[in-house]
Amino acid sequence: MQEDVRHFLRSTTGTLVTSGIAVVVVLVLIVYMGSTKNFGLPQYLQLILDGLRGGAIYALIALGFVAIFNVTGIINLAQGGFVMLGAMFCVQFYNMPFCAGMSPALRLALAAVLAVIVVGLIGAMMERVAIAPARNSPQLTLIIITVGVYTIMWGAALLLWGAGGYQLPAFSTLDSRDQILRFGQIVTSDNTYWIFGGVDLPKGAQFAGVMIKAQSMWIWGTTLIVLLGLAYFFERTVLGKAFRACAVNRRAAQLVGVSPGRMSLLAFVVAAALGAIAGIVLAPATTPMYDMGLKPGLKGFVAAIMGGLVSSPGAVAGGILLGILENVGAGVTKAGFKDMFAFIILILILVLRPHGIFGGGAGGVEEE
Amino acid sequence: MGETQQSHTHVKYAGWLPGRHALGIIAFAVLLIVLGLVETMRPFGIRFSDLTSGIVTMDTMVRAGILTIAVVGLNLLMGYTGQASLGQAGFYGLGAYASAILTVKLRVLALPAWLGTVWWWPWLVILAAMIFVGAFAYLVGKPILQLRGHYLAMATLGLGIVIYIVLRENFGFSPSEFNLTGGLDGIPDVGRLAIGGFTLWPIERYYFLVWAIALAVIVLSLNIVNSRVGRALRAVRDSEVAANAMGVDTHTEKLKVFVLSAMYASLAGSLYAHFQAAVSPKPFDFLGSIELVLMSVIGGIASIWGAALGVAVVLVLKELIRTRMHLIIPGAGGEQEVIAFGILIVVIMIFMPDGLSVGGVRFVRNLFGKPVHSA
Amino acid sequence: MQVPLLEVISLRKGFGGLMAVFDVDFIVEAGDIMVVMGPNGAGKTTIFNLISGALKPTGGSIHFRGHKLNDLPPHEITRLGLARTFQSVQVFGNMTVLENVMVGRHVKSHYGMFSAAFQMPRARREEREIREHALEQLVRVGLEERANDLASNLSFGQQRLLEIARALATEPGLLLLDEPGSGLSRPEKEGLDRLIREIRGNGVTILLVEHDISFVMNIADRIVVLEYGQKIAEGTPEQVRSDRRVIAAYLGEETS
Repeated sequence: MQEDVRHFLRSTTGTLVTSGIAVVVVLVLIVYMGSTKNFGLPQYLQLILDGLRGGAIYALIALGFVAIFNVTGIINLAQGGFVMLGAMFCVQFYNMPFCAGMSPALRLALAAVLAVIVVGLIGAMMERVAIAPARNSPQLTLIIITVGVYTIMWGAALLLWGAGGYQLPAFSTLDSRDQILRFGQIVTSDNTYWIFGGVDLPKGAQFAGVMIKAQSMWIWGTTLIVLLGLAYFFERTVLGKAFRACAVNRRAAQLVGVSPGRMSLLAFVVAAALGAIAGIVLAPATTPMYDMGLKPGLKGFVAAIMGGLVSSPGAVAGGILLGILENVGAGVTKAGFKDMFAFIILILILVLRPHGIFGGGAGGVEEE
Repeated sequence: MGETQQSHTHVKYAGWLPGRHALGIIAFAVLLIVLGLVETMRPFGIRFSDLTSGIVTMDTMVRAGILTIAVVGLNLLMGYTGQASLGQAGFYGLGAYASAILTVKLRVLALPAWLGTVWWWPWLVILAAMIFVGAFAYLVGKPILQLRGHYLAMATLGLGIVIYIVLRENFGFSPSEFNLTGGLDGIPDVGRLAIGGFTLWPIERYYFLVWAIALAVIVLSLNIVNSRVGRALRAVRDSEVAANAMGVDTHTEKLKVFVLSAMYASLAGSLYAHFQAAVSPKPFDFLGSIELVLMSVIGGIASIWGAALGVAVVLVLKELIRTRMHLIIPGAGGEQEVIAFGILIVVIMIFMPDGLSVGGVRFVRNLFGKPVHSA
Repeated sequence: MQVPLLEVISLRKGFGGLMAVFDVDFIVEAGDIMVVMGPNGAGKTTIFNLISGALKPTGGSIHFRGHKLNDLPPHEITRLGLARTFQSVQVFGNMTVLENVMVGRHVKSHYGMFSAAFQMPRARREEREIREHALEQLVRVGLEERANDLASNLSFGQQRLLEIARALATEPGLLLLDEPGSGLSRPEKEGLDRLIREIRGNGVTILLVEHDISFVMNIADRIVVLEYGQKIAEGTPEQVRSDRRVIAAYLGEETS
């Protein structure tokens, strides 16, 4: 009986049916709980848009996980550390006196580029020092090693920058206060008009619609550019193809002259850079500090799992879905529960569909 | 029971207690008793902490005992089934909060108030918490333990964080309506344990209690490890496919150990609550789980004695850093131990994955030129 | 008449598009030494994995002592009285030789965590029995001198013997030996031959996969020959030896 049920669940119709039911149940729950707070369409839209911002970040981080896992089979629990270091180094470089003469925009751009380079190097160092020597160790050992590296990262951050929070200015305004783009209706005492992307809110006016912080546009834009860049890299360059070859079949790749050691190094550098970029565009929207990497890292991992840990598009889709789900979920329940959704989703996926929702993954269940 | 009938084969003692461990246990117990007596009787006015020039106090010793209980469970899980658990602090927290809530929040839970006055109630709560946490671990573990390696690790990580958030968010209730966990502030005024009229406080008395329990846990765990159950676990670790072929139901065995380790963690948590006389969510977050893993790893993942060793090393390191760090880096606070932990974890996992108890012994043996025997 | 000990009926196993085993039928009678033979890639080890439960059949069925084995997990199958060894030796390297065999005794012992923790009398009693029985198996295969050595320190041939001792500890009715002779020297193979006969003499039926044709011809009561996942011949060694298809299949194969 149990066997039949399991068979059904794994079949295509079974999957569609259960997914359909799950989606409906979730939607009903959301609408029900939202109604207790008198949510209308604009509120949901707002939640979704805000969630998309986090989702893009998770997508970037998830790609880092996928890169490393595909090439080395390791789950890099230190990925969140790259995010944090990217943000912190960017703040550091931005505030350094050596470019005092430059315009803030230039300083920011320079700081960002430098931060990505530095974190990329740290990723390379991590691979050489902590991963390569232990390459043949059992999985448990490697997991703990990456945990150890993550601990070193935030311990070092604590040492270098203390426990306090820092600040990176919003990219649009180069100031701590960001531009807010509004899409909706403005109602003043004598007029009602629509606004798309406008900034100013006249005194005494009411606003009904959705707001997007300008930083979100930066985040989405960067994510898009990164995705395009990665696609180009993997499709068009020899190095990228070698990378993919190694991910698909390491032995075969070796036979045609691709060095797995070098690919492993590249994977870590790419993952570190991706994490750093995520951290840098995220920084203005949050408070860069020594422990900011943990949650994004874990959530990025959940997103990667949705893609079965092997599928890049799956990871991106997973990230976006996760961002939306957690934000809407927190919106209709309590803000403090936001982080919990990610982990509930994680456990559900691991238990029900370890192959990932969007990808044909390596699977996490014992093969019998 | 050590010799078989064949005169030409001396079968090495399979390890029942009293056995090769008996001596170690007795020695350890004697050491603990002596140290405790130093604090109690203060010969020549010396206190325990003076013996270690102020680095290790009674407080640390009690913490060590509590954490040893939790880490023994973690070693059983990670070392003997090869399964990572990155969320053990969740079970630890559940035990602590269960003890705190059921002894302090009686009115909130509509329980009779006189329960808060009898001496046996907290003990009952400890037991009940262990059973509850064990049942919870069973329910959660059943699906989770089918997962392979790193997937299981991530599932336990997620579980630990979910538990932490639930405790921190007071299960989602507004504190004014239904204050169960006290949110970020936690629950103050948790009482001390007592037997009959004899209160297990001040600290020297609690020290003896905690270490008596820790020793019992160690002995029980050694018994398990040296039994058919332990062999089955070690078989699973060495070759799961062969263990299956030999009739070992690997899933059930892993689940049993998972539940047992959760119960140990719950017990430790309860003892912690009555020790701190308060609980807050902070010690049970991700960092808390990492610390437990660190203690397990340093002492030797697969070693029961290693648990005590790992706990001791980490606690002493923490104290050393806390008291002496300002000498190295002026103005440094107390959280700098974190980076040291990270480095330690990485170094040990690369060079000495068996931890100090096994790898360290081997290292010392090699230093002195003794060949490493195989059994 | 009597129900055969093991019945394999129309067994199929596919991996994606590849059919590793296709419509294989055979029967093993109690008390026989049955050999599954065939060139490399014929599907011999796959059949073993299917019978022992490590793989699930795509089609057909397997019956042991009247029980259908198809959906049972390996440990259940062992409990029913079917034990196996592995072609790539899977000893428990970090345990002693004796402990390895004691694990084999797992299905015949019962005491649990609680009894173990508190050293209940039943636990002590069973533990004694486990140790004695395990030692007996070591004596049978001739490894009792190495009882306290770490299993990973044994030679390859000795590890093979250890696996057999371990499987014997489960008191099987049917013993599956996966290429027990591969990698053994001539005298070791002769010892293996004697051991297998002795085990059969004690009432254990044996099904083995083997490459070495002369070894097989010596020891087998009946042989099943596979090629590309299908049965091409079955019978006594004499019948099989002169079967045209068998000769054709092995043409180009080195007879060892």
